[in-house]
Amino acid sequence: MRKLFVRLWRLISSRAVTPAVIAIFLVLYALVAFWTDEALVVLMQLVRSNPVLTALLALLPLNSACCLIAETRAFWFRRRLLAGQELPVLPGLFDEEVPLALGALPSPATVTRVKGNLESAGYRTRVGERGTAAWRGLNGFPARFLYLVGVLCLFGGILVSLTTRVSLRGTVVEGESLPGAGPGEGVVSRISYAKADGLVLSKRLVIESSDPGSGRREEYGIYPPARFKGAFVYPRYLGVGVAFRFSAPELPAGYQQQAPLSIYPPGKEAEVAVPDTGYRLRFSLQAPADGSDPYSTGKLVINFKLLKGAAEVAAGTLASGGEFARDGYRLALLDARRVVVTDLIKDRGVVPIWLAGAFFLLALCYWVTVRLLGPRRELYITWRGGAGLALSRAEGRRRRHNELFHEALDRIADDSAH
Amino acid sequence: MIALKLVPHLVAFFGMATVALRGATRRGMLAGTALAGFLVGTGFAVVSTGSVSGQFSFSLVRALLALSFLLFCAVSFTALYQSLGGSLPVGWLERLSSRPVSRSCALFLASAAAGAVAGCRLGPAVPSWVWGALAAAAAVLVLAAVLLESRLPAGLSTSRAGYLALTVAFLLFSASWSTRLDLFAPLTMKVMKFTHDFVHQFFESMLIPDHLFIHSYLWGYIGLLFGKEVGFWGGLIIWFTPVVMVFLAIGLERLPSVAHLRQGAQRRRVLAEAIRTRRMRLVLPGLALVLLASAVYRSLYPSVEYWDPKPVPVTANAGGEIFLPRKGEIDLMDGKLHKYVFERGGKTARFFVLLTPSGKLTVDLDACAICKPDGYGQAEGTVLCYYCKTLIPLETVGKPGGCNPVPVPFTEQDDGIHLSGVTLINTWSGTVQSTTRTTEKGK
Repeated sequence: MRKLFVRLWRLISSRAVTPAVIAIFLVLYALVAFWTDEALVVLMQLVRSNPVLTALLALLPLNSACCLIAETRAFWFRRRLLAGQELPVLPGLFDEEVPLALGALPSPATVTRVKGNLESAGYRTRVGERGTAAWRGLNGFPARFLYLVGVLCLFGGILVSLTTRVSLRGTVVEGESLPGAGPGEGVVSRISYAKADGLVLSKRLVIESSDPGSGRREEYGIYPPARFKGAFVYPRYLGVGVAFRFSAPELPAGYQQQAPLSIYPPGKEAEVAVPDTGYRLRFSLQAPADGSDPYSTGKLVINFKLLKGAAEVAAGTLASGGEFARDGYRLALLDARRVVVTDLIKDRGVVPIWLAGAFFLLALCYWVTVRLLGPRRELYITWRGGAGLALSRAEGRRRRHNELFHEALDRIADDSAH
Repeated sequence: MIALKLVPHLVAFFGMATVALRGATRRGMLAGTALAGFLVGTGFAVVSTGSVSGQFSFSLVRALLALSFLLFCAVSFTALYQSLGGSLPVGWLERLSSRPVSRSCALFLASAAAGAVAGCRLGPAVPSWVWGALAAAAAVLVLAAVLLESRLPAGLSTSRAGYLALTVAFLLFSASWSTRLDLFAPLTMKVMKFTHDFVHQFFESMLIPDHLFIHSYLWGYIGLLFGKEVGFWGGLIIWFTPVVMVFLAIGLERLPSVAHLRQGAQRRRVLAEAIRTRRMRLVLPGLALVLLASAVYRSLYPSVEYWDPKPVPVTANAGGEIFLPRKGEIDLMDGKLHKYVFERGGKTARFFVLLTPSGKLTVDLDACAICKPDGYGQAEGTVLCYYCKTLIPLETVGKPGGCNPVPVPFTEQDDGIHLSGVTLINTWSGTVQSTTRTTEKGK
């Protein structure tokens, strides 16, 4: 059982798992791309719906967590070894392991000479009863640690986002409740839209809502997204909600409808068909002569065209509350309000993914600094019960470090020969 | 003319055969296998292009080439991982691949693929004398490969991944001479599409505001990600990554440990010899790099001419409907691409009408949903996106997705076709202009 666990642990904490899983997903992507142009979307849907693929994706955060534990353990183990603690030398802890010939164990005088040489090369040394350790530079492990935490956050976030994300698209209209709100709660009191001088955002959109019962007021902006009932409020598009009443000579009873129209910015057209009549109403937002933004000012003037089949029957302009009448045709614009088409998204993966970015940045900064200033180089010569072992490891400037390592071994061999 | 057309394919076959013979024991058998594979591949391609839909044969051969490239990616990645000290349980696979039978099978498949590429280039109607000449030329080239290989320096060898690199590079080089088999252009398109989708999904997932709320200058930078250049450079990265990984795998191979040697001169000698051998092993992957680069060049500058008519201005009636007569000054049923341009309210939309091979008319924007709207030209059996150089078979024009022209809804009547001007302008605005933000400074 223990053997099985060890093998399983070795497999899951292998560094090969993450690249292998990513390679599998790349191959899957390539195969999907042979059949469909929407390969990424299809692959995401596949991962979402297929437990095997979900489990495969889950291997990524699992592997990074296991690597994190295994590598942290190895790091502390190596530190304790260099500090002189009596521990076995596990395979893979060092780059090079050279057994010293029997009878070639260093004398105290040799150890002193080797120590002196290494110290003159900038190494710090520690001579103990069972071995001599030398090291120099800063350890790169913190960068690796941060990187692995980043990978864990990134793929954990992607997994959570893919499997649990819930999105509801709704229309936020002035004077009405937010989508998904209970009766009387989260009533949108005002939508304001103005220019902004931010570094990234050029516009400022604020959806103000109030709760008539509790009197609590909330504001939802563009970024960072605020939350309503645990869901992010993510504004997508702007539009105009119109309520109109239309009647024609052969339709005296009239037809009334409320519709959110995607007619922002001015000039963009949208059509509403009057059912079973052949009539179509084509709306657009009139651009104010002074160049102002009608959505910002709230002065929404609507251009309309009334079409029957291919023929244009009437055309005109209406403001909220206005009415058009000619040749038996009547069109009354009962109301025109600002509308924001908004997604309400419940997603616990967003924050970990952003955190991953921060971890990667920190890891990169630390790694570059350490590599430029002084990468870690370690050397350890140990002798126990007549057997000796020389160990070496370098995170950078390997050639110079190896020279020193070989010189130290040469010196030990020479001294023991004489 | 036919002989000239086949020269690059025969050169590629000759190179592949020479590479396969390197270090082999049963050269005669391998040479025969290579020849048989090439002829079988050529025969299959010629017969299938004549009997099955032309598109099927090309798609099949292209899929085989893509699979060989994927295999190359996997092998190069494994090689790099192993040279960095990683261990993988692939020993059985290495033992299997080093057997003569496996080597013969691999060579047969590779030669068949090379033959299929040449066969697709030949086309269905091949006179019998061409067959004879082709078989004779292939046999002579195999003999020449045996002779050349025996005269190459013994030190000129490489790793297994290096041999595969060269074989795949010869195949891709050969395929690049046929626009319908070329892999680099579709790869750039796929990269563009992936980048486009990835950026879109990233924005959606991370709840980043849409272009409406972001400074246009900033959106201009984001828009660069939707450009042809991203597809090109991304494609280049993917194209060359496996061969670069082979370089790295060889270059980063750990030098032999010399810590047990107690003489500095001896250590240096052992290391120098190892470094020299390592450098020699880089020569063949270097040749693969050159071949892949020339395949990219061929893909970027294909020697094909396209039918590209000037767009004819059209107007809509009072109801906003555009009418195009079936037969008038322009005959919509002649199988050629007919381009039109429509302007309304300061917005312009370009579209074309085409009779597809199935005998149905299709109306599409002269643009796709991914690329900048540089438009399409018509070649034999395909239309080509001028922006990303992707070839779209005529059979698929009228279907949405990818780099296909965006279809426009229309009604076909006896007299001609009718379509809505508003729909046309809105379709253009909704799908095309979102890809042109870089030049238009915002939607």
